[in-house]
Amino acid sequence: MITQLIDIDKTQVKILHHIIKIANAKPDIKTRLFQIADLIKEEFDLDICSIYLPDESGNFLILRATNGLPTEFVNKIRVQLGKGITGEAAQQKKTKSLSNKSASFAESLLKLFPKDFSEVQHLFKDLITSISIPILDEEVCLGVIELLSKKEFIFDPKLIEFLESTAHQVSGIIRNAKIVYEADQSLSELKKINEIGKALNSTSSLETLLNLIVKTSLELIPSRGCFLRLYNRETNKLEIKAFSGFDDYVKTHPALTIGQSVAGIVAKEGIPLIVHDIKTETRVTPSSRDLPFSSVLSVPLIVKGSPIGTISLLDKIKDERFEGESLFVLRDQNLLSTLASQAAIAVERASYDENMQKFSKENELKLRELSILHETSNAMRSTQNLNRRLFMILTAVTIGDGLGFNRAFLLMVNERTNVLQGMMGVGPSSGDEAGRIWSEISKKKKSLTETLLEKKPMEELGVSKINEIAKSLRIQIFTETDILSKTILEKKPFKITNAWEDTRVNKDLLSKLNTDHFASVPLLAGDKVLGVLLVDNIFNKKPITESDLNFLLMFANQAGLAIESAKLYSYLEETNEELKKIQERLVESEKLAALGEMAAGVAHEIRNPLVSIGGFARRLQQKFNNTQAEGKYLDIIIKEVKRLEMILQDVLGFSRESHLLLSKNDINDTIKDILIFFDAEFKEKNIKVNSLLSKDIPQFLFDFQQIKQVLINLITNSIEAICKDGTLEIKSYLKTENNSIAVEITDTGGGIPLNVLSNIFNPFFTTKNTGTGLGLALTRKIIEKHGGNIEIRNEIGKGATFEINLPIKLEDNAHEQKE
Amino acid sequence: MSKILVVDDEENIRLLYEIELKEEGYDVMTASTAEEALNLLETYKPDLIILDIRLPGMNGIEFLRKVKEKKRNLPVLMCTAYDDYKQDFAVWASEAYIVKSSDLAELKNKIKEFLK
Repeated sequence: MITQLIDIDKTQVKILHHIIKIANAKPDIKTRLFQIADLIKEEFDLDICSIYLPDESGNFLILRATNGLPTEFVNKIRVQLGKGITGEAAQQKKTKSLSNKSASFAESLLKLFPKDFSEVQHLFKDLITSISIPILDEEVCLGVIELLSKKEFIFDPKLIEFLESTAHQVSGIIRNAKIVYEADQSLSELKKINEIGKALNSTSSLETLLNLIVKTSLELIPSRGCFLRLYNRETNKLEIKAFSGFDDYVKTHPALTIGQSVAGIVAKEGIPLIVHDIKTETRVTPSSRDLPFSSVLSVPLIVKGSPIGTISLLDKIKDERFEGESLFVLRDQNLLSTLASQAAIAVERASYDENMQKFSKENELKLRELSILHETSNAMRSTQNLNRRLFMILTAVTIGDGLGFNRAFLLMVNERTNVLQGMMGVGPSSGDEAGRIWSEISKKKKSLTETLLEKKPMEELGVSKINEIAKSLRIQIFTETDILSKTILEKKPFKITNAWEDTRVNKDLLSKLNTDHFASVPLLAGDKVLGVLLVDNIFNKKPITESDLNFLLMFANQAGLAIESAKLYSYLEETNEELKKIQERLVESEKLAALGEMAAGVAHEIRNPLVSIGGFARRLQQKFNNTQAEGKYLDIIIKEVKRLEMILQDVLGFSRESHLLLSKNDINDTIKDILIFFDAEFKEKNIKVNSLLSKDIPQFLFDFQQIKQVLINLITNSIEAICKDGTLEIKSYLKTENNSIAVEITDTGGGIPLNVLSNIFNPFFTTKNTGTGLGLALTRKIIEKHGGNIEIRNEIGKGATFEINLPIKLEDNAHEQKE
Repeated sequence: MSKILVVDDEENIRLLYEIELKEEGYDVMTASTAEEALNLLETYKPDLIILDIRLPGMNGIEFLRKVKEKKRNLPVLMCTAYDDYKQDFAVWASEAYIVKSSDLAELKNKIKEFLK
């Protein structure tokens, strides 16, 4: 038909009829374009008829329908605008034709295609005619109809005109289809956005919401993947919070720095961005060019003018219904932006909700902690008993309603010995017992206060295994080496998770506790460290968290103060008790003294007349014998006087208490006390003191005041003997052979002159101008009353040694005291 | 004949002691105050003194001290209604401490002990 013009009108009418039919038919645009290609090829007896449409960039024409080329080439063959007949037709918007019999024509056609298509070159063999008609809509080129034939073609202007009008028809079809498609798409997008709006506002959980946004974004613009990133203020990074696709990438790149890669720029600038090929795009600097996706559409999530995150779509999937490009276009960007603006508000709201929930949870926890502190503190206020308070502290630490540790041990610092001594332990002794106790407790449903105030467990404590273990703990407080010492010295809590391998942990302690982990916190009362609270979760193996530890520390501070106050109270109580006893004794002795004084007064007044009465009666009795009545009367007088005298004796005897006040004392301490007393005098007189006090001497009963007096007397004598410059040696030692102790005082005072020596213990004997002369007499008397003795070793020219021996009396035997 | 000086402010006691001790064969001199006794110490030169503690003026303990300062070997028997002086260290300087009694046996025995 191309060579002849016969029937041309008839054919044209037929073609037009078909085209109108196609234009009004139902099938989608793709099918209709194929139908048109079929129609043109058939009617014009061509070899190939193809329809090309421009891509979204407008730089290329893509094969969209063909008859004559394999259908798999559809969408794959691309022709650059301006290249070849078809490219020129599209660019110049004019029908182009070429007829060339040379073999190079086919080759030049083939050159337009990528190399991959070389295998189909046979299809182009012998092609000599090519006509390309632009499909024009006003001045816009919507595509090109390409006709290829192996026959020669007569370029009849009428035919060209017809072909152009056919193309015009096709343009109508394409335009209509596009309008319908776009309307369709807009409608469905609107519907989706509407749905999203609804969904976003009905979702409360942030996580669900973020996933919904990802899902919706992908529905809206089908892509191979979608990342939703949110800005984290703390890390200053964009973190992927929800995603679909590219799991491996997400795993290795969970966060982006602001400004980095596409999303980084979007978040920084607050504007959307499309990147067609991230591998070559120079506007962005991704962490790596070797990415599993190539094209990216990213839009910011903006709240109150500042970006809070981004939504990124990766590698758009072509919509099957329309010959769309697999490239993101402005339309997609606008669409995603619309979604993002809705999503941003919802995200903000949800994260606000979530924060509120978090805050309220934190508040709840704080409130619970406060209530534990409050309840414990209240309960502790009910008692001043130290043990009871310790027990309350440990109960609060171990009970589920309290801090909920499995076991708790309390160790207190002994300042004198520098030892950390276990005081009390609370907790089950085995896993079985733990289970039983915990289930019992959960059944009882007692409040913390009720549990703390229970009296019974305190009694059970006495037989508890854990308490026994606790009491067996003794740790010397060294610097640095031991973790419990560190807790005390550094006043810091410690958490030990791998105790057996931790060199800081005392292994003896571990085997006693039989645990592999624990936490220790110092018990502080102000600046003072009272001890250590040690806890573990040996049975349920619940890890001890940082916040557990913090709360425990807070609790320990409070507990420390309570312990301190109980200690002070018990000290006060003890002191008070002692004072009371002393007062009682004082009152007693005052009473006795008063009684004695009165009795003595009465005795004096009565005794003298009784002596006269009785004395003279005895004289008279000698004048009468018993047979005479007078003798008997006198007898009665004498006996009655005797009886009165006996009564007086008893009364006076009562007031005559032994004045040895025996109590258990340390003789060395007594000596040390006295040496301090004389210290100034020793210095003033340049007297050197050697004290050799044996540590083996036990405490024994003696009258502290009187023995002190003895020592003062002897040392005073020695000092007076030395006068100035000399040595005083004081020795104490045990004499096991007669169960006594000896104290020797040796001076360098030149010894005692022989004439003096014999009188030395006589009362009122003195070589001095001052003093009573009773010193040594008194000394001997006191020592003898203690059942001891005193000896002198005298070395004329050198010095004298006084040796006191006192028996070690351990029990107060009342009879021995009395004279 | 041994000479005994009795120092007591109670007239009846002085009388009783004087009679009883004279019957025992001693020479007896009495004094009602320590001051009086102090004079007799040199004029009478007693071999033994029986001394009450509660005396008007100078008391027995002060007197004892003065006696012992002058005549350390002169035995002094403290004889008083107050047995609580026994605890007073000062009386340790005396040879004996006797609680006054209508039964003079203890006193007489002590005198014998020191005037052998």
